[in-house]
Amino acid sequence: MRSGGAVPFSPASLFAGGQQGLWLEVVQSGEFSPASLFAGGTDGAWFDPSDLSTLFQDSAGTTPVTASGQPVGKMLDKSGNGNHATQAISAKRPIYTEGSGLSWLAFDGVDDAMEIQNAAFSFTGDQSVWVAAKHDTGNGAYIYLMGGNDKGYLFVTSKRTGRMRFIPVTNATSVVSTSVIDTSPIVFGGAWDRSSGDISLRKNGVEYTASKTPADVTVPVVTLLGGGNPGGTSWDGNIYGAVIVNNLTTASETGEVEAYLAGKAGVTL
Amino acid sequence: MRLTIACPDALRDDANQLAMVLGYGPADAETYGGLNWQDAGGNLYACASLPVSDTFTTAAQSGLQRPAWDTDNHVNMAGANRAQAALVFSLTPVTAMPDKLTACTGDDALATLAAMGLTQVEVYE
Repeated sequence: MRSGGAVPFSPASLFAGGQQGLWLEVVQSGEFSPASLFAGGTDGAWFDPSDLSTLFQDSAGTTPVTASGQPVGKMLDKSGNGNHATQAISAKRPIYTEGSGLSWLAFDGVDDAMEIQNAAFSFTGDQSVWVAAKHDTGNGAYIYLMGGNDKGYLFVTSKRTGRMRFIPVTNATSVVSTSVIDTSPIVFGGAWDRSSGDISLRKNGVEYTASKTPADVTVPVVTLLGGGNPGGTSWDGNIYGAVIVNNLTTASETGEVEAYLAGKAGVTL
Repeated sequence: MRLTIACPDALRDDANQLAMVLGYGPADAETYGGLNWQDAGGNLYACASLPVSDTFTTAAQSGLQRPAWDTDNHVNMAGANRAQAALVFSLTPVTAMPDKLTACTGDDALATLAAMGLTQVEVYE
Protein backbone atom coordinates (compact mmCIF):
# COMPACT_ATOMS: atom_id res chain seq x y z
CA MET A 1 0.00 0.00 0.00
CA ARG A 2 1.20 3.48 -0.73
CA SER A 3 2.36 5.54 2.20
CA GLY A 4 0.82 8.79 1.01
CA GLY A 5 4.19 10.48 1.05
CA ALA A 6 6.00 12.20 -1.76
CA VAL A 7 4.67 11.50 -5.22
CA PRO A 8 7.18 9.67 -7.41
CA PHE A 9 8.13 11.62 -10.50
CA SER A 10 6.73 10.54 -13.82
CA PRO A 11 7.28 12.24 -17.18
CA ALA A 12 3.50 12.21 -17.50
CA SER A 13 3.38 15.20 -15.18
CA LEU A 14 5.19 17.26 -17.81
CA PHE A 15 2.18 16.95 -20.09
CA ALA A 16 -0.48 17.76 -17.49
CA GLY A 17 -1.40 21.06 -19.03
CA GLY A 18 -1.76 19.65 -22.50
CA GLN A 19 1.81 20.34 -23.52
CA GLN A 20 2.94 18.58 -26.65
CA GLY A 21 5.91 16.28 -26.55
CA LEU A 22 7.06 12.72 -26.64
CA TRP A 23 7.65 10.27 -23.82
CA LEU A 24 9.33 7.02 -24.61
CA GLU A 25 9.34 4.38 -21.91
CA VAL A 26 11.83 1.55 -22.02
CA VAL A 27 10.21 -1.67 -20.90
CA GLN A 28 12.20 -4.70 -19.83
CA SER A 29 12.16 -7.51 -22.31
CA GLY A 30 9.20 -9.77 -21.70
CA GLU A 31 7.30 -7.21 -19.68
CA PHE A 32 4.16 -6.07 -21.47
CA SER A 33 3.13 -2.45 -21.41
CA PRO A 34 -0.02 -1.12 -23.07
CA ALA A 35 2.23 1.60 -24.49
CA SER A 36 3.25 -0.89 -27.17
CA LEU A 37 -0.30 -0.83 -28.57
CA PHE A 38 0.11 2.79 -29.55
CA ALA A 39 3.40 2.49 -31.35
CA GLY A 40 3.38 4.02 -34.79
CA GLY A 41 0.85 6.66 -33.86
CA THR A 42 -2.17 4.51 -33.15
CA ASP A 43 -4.73 6.66 -31.39
CA GLY A 44 -6.56 5.73 -28.25
CA ALA A 45 -6.04 6.09 -24.54
CA TRP A 46 -4.57 4.23 -21.59
CA PHE A 47 -5.68 5.04 -18.06
CA ASP A 48 -3.82 3.67 -15.07
CA PRO A 49 -5.11 4.88 -11.68
CA SER A 50 -2.31 2.97 -9.95
CA ASP A 51 0.15 5.49 -11.39
CA LEU A 52 -0.30 8.31 -8.93
CA SER A 53 1.74 10.69 -11.05
CA THR A 54 -1.05 10.70 -13.64
CA LEU A 55 -3.76 11.81 -11.22
CA PHE A 56 -4.75 15.35 -10.28
CA GLN A 57 -7.42 16.62 -7.94
CA ASP A 58 -8.52 19.40 -10.29
CA SER A 59 -9.42 19.28 -13.94
CA ALA A 60 -6.66 21.73 -14.85
CA GLY A 61 -4.06 19.28 -13.63
CA THR A 62 -2.40 21.60 -11.12
CA THR A 63 -2.99 19.84 -7.78
CA PRO A 64 -1.64 16.29 -7.70
CA VAL A 65 -3.39 13.45 -6.00
CA THR A 66 -1.13 12.42 -3.14
CA ALA A 67 -3.20 10.10 -0.97
CA SER A 68 -6.10 7.72 -0.92
CA GLY A 69 -9.43 9.45 -0.46
CA GLN A 70 -8.75 12.45 -2.66
CA PRO A 71 -10.96 13.41 -5.64
CA VAL A 72 -9.68 12.98 -9.18
CA GLY A 73 -10.39 15.81 -11.61
CA LYS A 74 -7.87 14.77 -14.22
CA MET A 75 -6.31 11.45 -15.18
CA LEU A 76 -3.56 11.57 -17.74
CA ASP A 77 -3.64 9.35 -20.78
CA LYS A 78 -0.49 7.22 -20.75
CA SER A 79 -0.81 6.23 -24.41
CA GLY A 80 1.00 9.35 -25.50
CA ASN A 81 -2.02 10.60 -27.42
CA GLY A 82 -3.01 13.27 -24.93
CA ASN A 83 -6.55 11.97 -24.60
CA HIS A 84 -6.76 12.76 -20.92
CA ALA A 85 -9.87 12.15 -18.80
CA THR A 86 -11.22 15.12 -16.88
CA GLN A 87 -14.08 16.15 -14.65
CA ALA A 88 -14.53 19.88 -14.17
CA ILE A 89 -17.52 19.62 -11.83
CA SER A 90 -16.18 19.07 -8.33
CA ALA A 91 -19.11 16.99 -7.04
CA LYS A 92 -18.76 14.56 -9.93
CA ARG A 93 -15.15 13.58 -9.39
CA PRO A 94 -14.41 9.96 -8.49
CA ILE A 95 -12.22 9.21 -5.50
CA TYR A 96 -8.71 7.78 -5.70
CA THR A 97 -8.66 4.81 -3.38
CA GLU A 98 -6.07 2.26 -2.24
CA GLY A 99 -6.50 -1.10 -0.56
CA SER A 100 -5.12 -4.62 -0.53
CA GLY A 101 -2.23 -3.59 -2.72
CA LEU A 102 -4.50 -2.23 -5.44
CA SER A 103 -5.43 1.28 -6.52
CA TRP A 104 -8.59 2.42 -8.23
CA LEU A 105 -11.05 5.22 -8.87
CA ALA A 106 -14.22 4.82 -6.82
CA PHE A 107 -17.39 6.07 -8.54
CA ASP A 108 -20.39 6.78 -6.30
CA GLY A 109 -23.19 5.53 -8.56
CA VAL A 110 -24.94 8.90 -8.40
CA ASP A 111 -23.12 11.43 -10.52
CA ASP A 112 -19.41 10.61 -10.73
CA ALA A 113 -17.88 10.27 -14.19
CA MET A 114 -14.88 11.45 -16.16
CA GLU A 115 -15.05 12.81 -19.66
CA ILE A 116 -12.68 11.25 -22.17
CA GLN A 117 -11.50 13.22 -25.15
CA ASN A 118 -13.44 12.18 -28.23
CA ALA A 119 -10.19 11.80 -30.07
CA ALA A 120 -9.56 8.67 -28.04
CA PHE A 121 -12.18 6.84 -30.02
CA SER A 122 -12.32 5.85 -33.63
CA PHE A 123 -15.72 6.74 -34.97
CA THR A 124 -15.03 5.34 -38.39
CA GLY A 125 -12.59 2.49 -37.97
CA ASP A 126 -11.90 -0.55 -35.85
CA GLN A 127 -12.07 -0.23 -32.09
CA SER A 128 -10.87 -2.25 -29.13
CA VAL A 129 -11.79 -1.34 -25.55
CA TRP A 130 -11.06 -2.83 -22.15
CA VAL A 131 -12.04 -1.71 -18.68
CA ALA A 132 -11.12 -3.40 -15.40
CA ALA A 133 -13.83 -2.70 -12.87
CA LYS A 134 -15.65 -3.89 -9.80
CA HIS A 135 -19.36 -3.46 -9.42
CA ASP A 136 -20.76 -2.67 -5.97
CA THR A 137 -24.27 -3.36 -4.85
CA GLY A 138 -26.27 -0.60 -6.39
CA ASN A 139 -29.56 0.89 -7.29
CA GLY A 140 -30.85 -1.80 -9.59
CA ALA A 141 -31.17 0.38 -12.65
CA TYR A 142 -28.90 0.97 -15.59
CA ILE A 143 -25.29 1.47 -14.81
CA TYR A 144 -22.84 2.75 -17.33
CA LEU A 145 -19.23 1.75 -17.22
CA MET A 146 -18.36 3.77 -20.27
CA GLY A 147 -20.80 5.66 -22.41
CA GLY A 148 -21.56 8.41 -24.81
CA ASN A 149 -24.28 10.86 -25.53
CA ASP A 150 -27.90 9.77 -25.90
CA LYS A 151 -27.99 6.05 -26.71
CA GLY A 152 -24.57 5.90 -28.21
CA TYR A 153 -22.94 3.98 -25.45
CA LEU A 154 -19.63 2.56 -26.19
CA PHE A 155 -19.72 0.15 -23.33
CA VAL A 156 -22.60 -0.51 -21.06
CA THR A 157 -23.56 -2.81 -18.28
CA SER A 158 -26.90 -3.22 -16.70
CA LYS A 159 -26.97 -4.51 -13.17
CA ARG A 160 -30.68 -5.05 -13.01
CA THR A 161 -30.69 -7.48 -15.87
CA GLY A 162 -27.17 -8.69 -15.35
CA ARG A 163 -26.39 -8.07 -18.98
CA MET A 164 -23.24 -6.71 -20.47
CA ARG A 165 -23.50 -4.76 -23.68
CA PHE A 166 -21.20 -3.19 -26.19
CA ILE A 167 -22.92 -0.52 -28.23
CA PRO A 168 -20.46 1.43 -30.30
CA VAL A 169 -22.99 3.63 -32.04
CA THR A 170 -26.26 5.43 -31.61
CA ASN A 171 -29.29 3.17 -31.65
CA ALA A 172 -27.05 0.23 -32.35
CA THR A 173 -28.07 -3.33 -31.90
CA SER A 174 -26.16 -4.41 -28.88
CA VAL A 175 -24.28 -7.55 -28.08
CA VAL A 176 -25.91 -9.08 -25.06
CA SER A 177 -24.67 -11.62 -22.62
CA THR A 178 -26.33 -12.91 -19.50
CA SER A 179 -25.22 -13.29 -15.93
CA VAL A 180 -21.90 -11.62 -16.37
CA ILE A 181 -22.28 -9.03 -13.64
CA ASP A 182 -21.33 -9.78 -10.09
CA THR A 183 -19.53 -7.90 -7.36
CA SER A 184 -16.10 -9.34 -8.12
CA PRO A 185 -13.54 -7.39 -10.12
CA ILE A 186 -13.90 -8.09 -13.83
CA VAL A 187 -11.92 -7.29 -16.93
CA PHE A 188 -14.43 -6.29 -19.60
CA GLY A 189 -13.51 -6.11 -23.23
CA GLY A 190 -15.18 -5.17 -26.47
CA ALA A 191 -14.06 -4.93 -30.06
CA TRP A 192 -15.64 -3.84 -33.31
CA ASP A 193 -14.26 -5.04 -36.61
CA ARG A 194 -15.67 -2.66 -39.19
CA SER A 195 -14.63 -4.73 -42.17
CA SER A 196 -16.34 -7.93 -41.12
CA GLY A 197 -18.99 -6.24 -39.00
CA ASP A 198 -18.28 -8.41 -36.01
CA ILE A 199 -18.76 -7.00 -32.55
CA SER A 200 -17.20 -9.12 -29.85
CA LEU A 201 -17.55 -8.97 -26.10
CA ARG A 202 -15.14 -10.42 -23.57
CA LYS A 203 -15.07 -11.01 -19.85
CA ASN A 204 -11.98 -12.09 -17.92
CA GLY A 205 -10.15 -13.27 -20.97
CA VAL A 206 -13.01 -15.21 -22.48
CA GLU A 207 -15.04 -14.14 -25.50
CA TYR A 208 -18.67 -14.18 -24.55
CA THR A 209 -20.41 -13.49 -27.78
CA ALA A 210 -20.23 -11.77 -31.13
CA SER A 211 -22.71 -10.37 -33.62
CA LYS A 212 -22.87 -8.36 -36.78
CA THR A 213 -22.59 -4.66 -37.26
CA PRO A 214 -25.69 -2.59 -36.61
CA ALA A 215 -27.02 -0.55 -39.47
CA ASP A 216 -26.84 2.78 -37.70
CA VAL A 217 -23.29 4.00 -37.42
CA THR A 218 -24.02 7.43 -35.98
CA VAL A 219 -21.42 8.02 -33.34
CA PRO A 220 -21.77 9.26 -29.77
CA VAL A 221 -20.69 12.82 -29.07
CA VAL A 222 -19.37 12.75 -25.55
CA THR A 223 -17.79 9.73 -23.98
CA LEU A 224 -17.56 9.20 -20.27
CA LEU A 225 -15.62 6.81 -18.11
CA GLY A 226 -17.81 5.67 -15.25
CA GLY A 227 -20.94 7.20 -16.70
CA GLY A 228 -23.43 7.07 -19.51
CA ASN A 229 -25.17 10.06 -20.96
CA PRO A 230 -24.06 13.37 -19.43
CA GLY A 231 -26.20 14.14 -16.41
CA GLY A 232 -27.11 10.50 -16.05
CA THR A 233 -26.25 8.16 -13.25
CA SER A 234 -22.83 6.66 -12.89
CA TRP A 235 -21.01 3.44 -12.30
CA ASP A 236 -21.28 2.37 -8.68
CA GLY A 237 -17.96 0.81 -7.95
CA ASN A 238 -14.30 0.77 -8.84
CA ILE A 239 -12.39 1.26 -12.07
CA TYR A 240 -8.84 -0.08 -11.99
CA GLY A 241 -7.80 0.81 -15.49
CA ALA A 242 -8.87 1.18 -19.08
CA VAL A 243 -7.29 0.77 -22.50
CA ILE A 244 -8.84 2.10 -25.70
CA VAL A 245 -7.15 1.30 -29.00
CA ASN A 246 -8.28 2.48 -32.42
CA ASN A 247 -7.61 -0.77 -34.17
CA LEU A 248 -8.13 -4.47 -33.64
CA THR A 249 -5.49 -6.04 -31.49
CA THR A 250 -3.99 -9.42 -32.22
CA ALA A 251 -4.97 -12.38 -30.09
CA SER A 252 -1.61 -12.13 -28.37
CA GLU A 253 -2.03 -8.44 -27.65
CA THR A 254 -5.55 -9.00 -26.42
CA GLY A 255 -4.30 -11.61 -23.99
CA GLU A 256 -1.54 -9.34 -22.79
CA VAL A 257 -3.85 -6.39 -22.24
CA GLU A 258 -6.30 -8.52 -20.33
CA ALA A 259 -3.53 -10.01 -18.20
CA TYR A 260 -2.22 -6.52 -17.51
CA LEU A 261 -5.62 -5.21 -16.46
CA ALA A 262 -6.33 -8.36 -14.47
CA GLY A 263 -3.21 -7.61 -12.45
CA LYS A 264 -4.44 -4.09 -11.79
CA ALA A 265 -7.81 -5.38 -10.57
CA GLY A 266 -6.63 -8.43 -8.67
CA VAL A 267 -8.38 -10.75 -11.10
CA THR A 268 -7.06 -14.23 -11.78
CA LEU A 269 -7.65 -15.13 -15.41
CA MET B 1 -17.90 12.30 5.45
CA ARG B 2 -19.95 11.83 2.30
CA LEU B 3 -22.82 14.17 1.61
CA THR B 4 -25.63 13.21 -0.76
CA ILE B 5 -28.00 15.91 -1.94
CA ALA B 6 -31.40 15.68 -3.59
CA CYS B 7 -32.42 18.74 -5.57
CA PRO B 8 -35.98 19.06 -6.90
CA ASP B 9 -36.48 20.39 -10.41
CA ALA B 10 -37.77 23.76 -9.19
CA LEU B 11 -34.60 24.43 -7.21
CA ARG B 12 -32.02 23.30 -9.77
CA ASP B 13 -31.00 26.73 -11.01
CA ASP B 14 -30.65 28.16 -7.52
CA ALA B 15 -28.90 25.03 -6.21
CA ASN B 16 -26.34 25.28 -8.98
CA GLN B 17 -25.63 28.84 -7.91
CA LEU B 18 -25.07 27.58 -4.36
CA ALA B 19 -22.83 24.80 -5.72
CA MET B 20 -20.63 27.42 -7.35
CA VAL B 21 -20.38 29.39 -4.11
CA LEU B 22 -19.36 26.29 -2.17
CA GLY B 23 -17.32 24.76 -5.00
CA TYR B 24 -14.33 25.77 -7.01
CA GLY B 25 -15.43 27.46 -10.19
CA PRO B 26 -18.03 28.08 -12.90
CA ALA B 27 -18.10 24.41 -13.90
CA ASP B 28 -19.90 23.68 -10.64
CA ALA B 29 -22.95 25.37 -12.18
CA GLU B 30 -23.63 21.95 -13.68
CA THR B 31 -23.64 20.07 -10.40
CA TYR B 32 -27.35 19.34 -10.60
CA GLY B 33 -28.15 18.07 -14.06
CA GLY B 34 -30.38 15.20 -15.07
CA LEU B 35 -33.59 14.55 -13.16
CA ASN B 36 -32.74 10.90 -12.67
CA TRP B 37 -34.42 10.26 -9.32
CA GLN B 38 -37.99 10.37 -8.12
CA ASP B 39 -39.88 10.14 -4.86
CA ALA B 40 -42.98 8.12 -4.13
CA GLY B 41 -45.13 10.97 -5.41
CA GLY B 42 -43.37 11.05 -8.76
CA ASN B 43 -41.52 14.29 -8.06
CA LEU B 44 -38.21 14.40 -9.91
CA TYR B 45 -34.83 15.22 -8.45
CA ALA B 46 -31.29 15.80 -9.63
CA CYS B 47 -28.86 14.31 -7.17
CA ALA B 48 -25.23 14.82 -6.30
CA SER B 49 -22.88 13.09 -3.91
CA LEU B 50 -19.42 14.03 -2.77
CA PRO B 51 -17.03 13.72 0.15
CA VAL B 52 -16.99 16.91 2.22
CA SER B 53 -15.18 18.32 5.21
CA ASP B 54 -16.69 19.84 8.33
CA THR B 55 -15.61 23.17 6.90
CA PHE B 56 -17.84 22.58 3.88
CA THR B 57 -20.92 21.78 5.92
CA THR B 58 -20.30 24.80 8.13
CA ALA B 59 -19.90 27.05 5.10
CA ALA B 60 -23.06 25.64 3.53
CA GLN B 61 -25.04 26.74 6.55
CA SER B 62 -23.33 30.09 7.15
CA GLY B 63 -23.68 33.46 5.48
CA LEU B 64 -22.69 33.16 1.83
CA GLN B 65 -20.04 35.26 0.19
CA ARG B 66 -19.26 35.60 -3.47
CA PRO B 67 -16.33 33.26 -4.21
CA ALA B 68 -12.97 34.86 -4.85
CA TRP B 69 -12.77 33.43 -8.38
CA ASP B 70 -16.04 35.10 -9.38
CA THR B 71 -14.66 38.46 -10.39
CA ASP B 72 -17.19 38.71 -13.24
CA ASN B 73 -20.25 38.24 -11.03
CA HIS B 74 -20.99 34.94 -12.67
CA VAL B 75 -22.81 33.65 -9.61
CA ASN B 76 -26.35 34.73 -8.91
CA MET B 77 -25.97 35.27 -5.18
CA ALA B 78 -29.71 35.80 -4.72
CA GLY B 79 -30.29 32.37 -6.19
CA ALA B 80 -27.60 30.86 -4.01
CA ASN B 81 -29.23 32.38 -0.94
CA ARG B 82 -32.63 31.03 -1.98
CA ALA B 83 -31.12 27.57 -2.30
CA GLN B 84 -29.49 27.88 1.11
CA ALA B 85 -32.81 28.92 2.62
CA ALA B 86 -34.32 25.73 1.22
CA LEU B 87 -31.46 23.57 2.51
CA VAL B 88 -32.25 20.76 4.90
CA PHE B 89 -29.06 19.28 6.32
CA SER B 90 -29.19 16.06 8.30
CA LEU B 91 -26.63 13.64 9.72
CA THR B 92 -29.14 10.86 9.10
CA PRO B 93 -31.28 10.26 6.02
CA VAL B 94 -34.54 12.17 5.91
CA THR B 95 -37.24 12.04 3.27
CA ALA B 96 -36.54 14.25 0.28
CA MET B 97 -39.09 16.98 -0.28
CA PRO B 98 -40.02 18.66 -3.57
CA ASP B 99 -39.59 22.15 -2.12
CA LYS B 100 -36.35 21.52 -0.24
CA LEU B 101 -32.70 20.94 -1.04
CA THR B 102 -32.17 17.88 1.10
CA ALA B 103 -28.59 17.00 2.07
CA CYS B 104 -27.84 13.91 4.14
CA THR B 105 -24.65 12.27 5.27
CA GLY B 106 -23.90 8.59 4.76
CA ASP B 107 -20.98 6.57 3.47
CA ASP B 108 -22.99 4.84 0.75
CA ALA B 109 -24.55 7.38 -1.59
CA LEU B 110 -27.04 5.00 -3.15
CA ALA B 111 -28.15 3.66 0.22
CA THR B 112 -28.60 7.23 1.41
CA LEU B 113 -30.78 8.09 -1.58
CA ALA B 114 -32.86 4.99 -0.97
CA ALA B 115 -33.29 6.00 2.65
CA MET B 116 -34.38 9.43 1.45
CA GLY B 117 -37.21 7.72 -0.39
CA LEU B 118 -35.77 8.13 -3.88
CA THR B 119 -35.56 5.62 -6.67
CA GLN B 120 -33.77 5.91 -9.95
CA VAL B 121 -35.73 6.88 -13.02
CA GLU B 122 -35.07 4.22 -15.59
CA VAL B 123 -34.47 5.76 -18.95
CA TYR B 124 -32.88 3.24 -21.27
CA GLU B 125 -32.47 -0.43 -21.92
